[in-house]
Amino acid sequence: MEVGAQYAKYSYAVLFNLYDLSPDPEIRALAKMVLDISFIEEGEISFADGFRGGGKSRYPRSDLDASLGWMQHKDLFYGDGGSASHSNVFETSLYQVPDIAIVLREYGDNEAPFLMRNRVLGESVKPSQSFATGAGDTFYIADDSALINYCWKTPDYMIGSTLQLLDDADDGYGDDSGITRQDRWGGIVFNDAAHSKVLPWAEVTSPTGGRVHNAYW
Amino acid sequence: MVAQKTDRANYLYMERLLVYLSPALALTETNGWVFTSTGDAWSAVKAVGGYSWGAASHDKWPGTSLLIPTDEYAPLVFFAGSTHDGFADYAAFQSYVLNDIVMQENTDELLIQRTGKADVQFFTDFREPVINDGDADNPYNASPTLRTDYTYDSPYLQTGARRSEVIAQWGEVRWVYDFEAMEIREVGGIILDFGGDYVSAITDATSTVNAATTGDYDFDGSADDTARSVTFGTVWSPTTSGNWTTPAGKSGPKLRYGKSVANLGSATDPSDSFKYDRITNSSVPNTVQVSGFNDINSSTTLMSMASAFYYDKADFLNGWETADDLVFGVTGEISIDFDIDRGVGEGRALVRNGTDWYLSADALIGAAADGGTLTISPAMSDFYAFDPTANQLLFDTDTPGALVSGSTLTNITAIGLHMQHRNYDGTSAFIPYEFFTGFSATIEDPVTAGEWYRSGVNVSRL
Repeated sequence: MEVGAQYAKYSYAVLFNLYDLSPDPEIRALAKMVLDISFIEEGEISFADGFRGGGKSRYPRSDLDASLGWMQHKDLFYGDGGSASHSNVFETSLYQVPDIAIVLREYGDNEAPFLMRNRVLGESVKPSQSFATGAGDTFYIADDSALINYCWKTPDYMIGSTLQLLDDADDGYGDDSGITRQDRWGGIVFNDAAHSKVLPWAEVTSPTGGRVHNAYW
Repeated sequence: MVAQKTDRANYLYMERLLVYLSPALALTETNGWVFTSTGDAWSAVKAVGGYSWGAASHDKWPGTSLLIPTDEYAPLVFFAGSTHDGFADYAAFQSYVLNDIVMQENTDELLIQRTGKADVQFFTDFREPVINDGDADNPYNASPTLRTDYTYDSPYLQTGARRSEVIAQWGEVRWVYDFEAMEIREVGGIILDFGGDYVSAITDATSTVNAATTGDYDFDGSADDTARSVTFGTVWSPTTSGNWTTPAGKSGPKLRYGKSVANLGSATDPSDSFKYDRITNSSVPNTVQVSGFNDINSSTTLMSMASAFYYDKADFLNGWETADDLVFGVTGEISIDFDIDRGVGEGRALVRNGTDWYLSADALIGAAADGGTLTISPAMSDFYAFDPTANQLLFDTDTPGALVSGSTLTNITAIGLHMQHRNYDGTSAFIPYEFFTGFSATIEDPVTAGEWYRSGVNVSRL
């Protein structure tokens, strides 16, 4: 749901704990598989320093040229310095990233241009009748989310965004969860030293910043 | 990329949708486009209907100028390119954007046309875009829209044939994340690029090919082998006469170097001792048979004989003959029905990788009058290097050499079978036979791990 977001660190911390600490070996095995795929996906859609392209949610809108904190946490797992976060599990976990993630991080920027089309969670749907009692009007996350993280990566730049459906009603069509639709990020990022960008950006009137949902598609 | 402010933009005071361009980028403004350049990469952005420059409200970046569309809901069109995309330089990129891209504004629609590319219909009233590119994997061509059959689709991460499988791939190695089996399988030797060959092969492939011929089948060149070949491949139909025909330009299975015999205890050259090799109904019905020694079966020496059949990649069908780097996938299989009776006969799978030959370490050892089926998973099996030379097919099972993993065979150029009787007792009254009645091989789809190229031959005599 928080694809490419600063706050992805909260999800990862839980996965690391499941991998390290679950008493159920099947849970530990599944946690490793999810983590592996996650790091492989990070590897293919990021430049060598860990900066992601494609579509993102909840990007820190106050500093578009900043590097995300999650990059620092990823660095820990590649022996490239880095730091932990709200949880020190990033430093204490025994998890090791898979070989292909290391290779993608090291050599991915030298690969010929390629396309990524990965479906991601985030679409929300209204509760079914079976959820009527106790679930209130709370939306839940669809397991067949119509969101595609679309990215064209070259050695020099990435261009992409989150493909989504949209209409003007909360009707279960193109309705994304609050986290997913908040402060979307997409556009062009170059592989220069500063990762220069050309991005759509939603302006807000609040002097304190604020957040925007469904700013653009 | 096209972006547009939505009419559902809400929550905490959103105003305008602007375009941020990093201040370090060098800008060039031409014909409504704003171009940027950094290194060997460039971008172009256009606000349909025009734009101006200005600061954002409550500007967090004093002095930073943002692109402000004239129309609040104007589509914002982004292009990017670099030398890796085929643009020679910045000027070539600008020329492409200015001359090869046509944008036409219709009612509730922006039509984008590019030379050599499918048109893009972007609807400003928030309907789903239409891209008529014929790409079944295009998310906008999925039904329902964006609900693709795959979860992952890139050269390095793909959804398998089963949604419970995710395949990670780098070069010739891949890892299958099987969430159903809850295991990660590493598989060596995968196909990097099938291109169009792969697509056409899967479209027409069937599971088995039957082949039949009439009369004795002479592999020695004394008869017209090509006309009566049991051809290896995937799909073609029998003629109205019921006979199978050979596709134009293809040939049948080849008897590698004919066959060979060795007279281990004598200087006598036994190379003429094969009596016949043919498709036959005698002895063992519906078999390809090699037999011999008839004229020297009173010899007191130990005798050996060997034969091998293989199918060249050049005779594969449906585009597989030109496919790159054919390999055995994780669930690939070779199955051979042997009947190698008369004692010490043995049969193995025969594979050529590039120009090097290999025999499977697994073998079917024949017993008197017995046959059987050898089935191996070649990617998971070991092979021995094999060096056949003209008229010498015998494989020295006493010193077979080092084992080679089948997963390292990444350029399969021939598949077949090898049979031999080694150190056969020449004093025996029996004539040794080497038979096979059927052969099949499967190659796994390298991407989805679920599609198959399956070929083979069932021997039958009409």
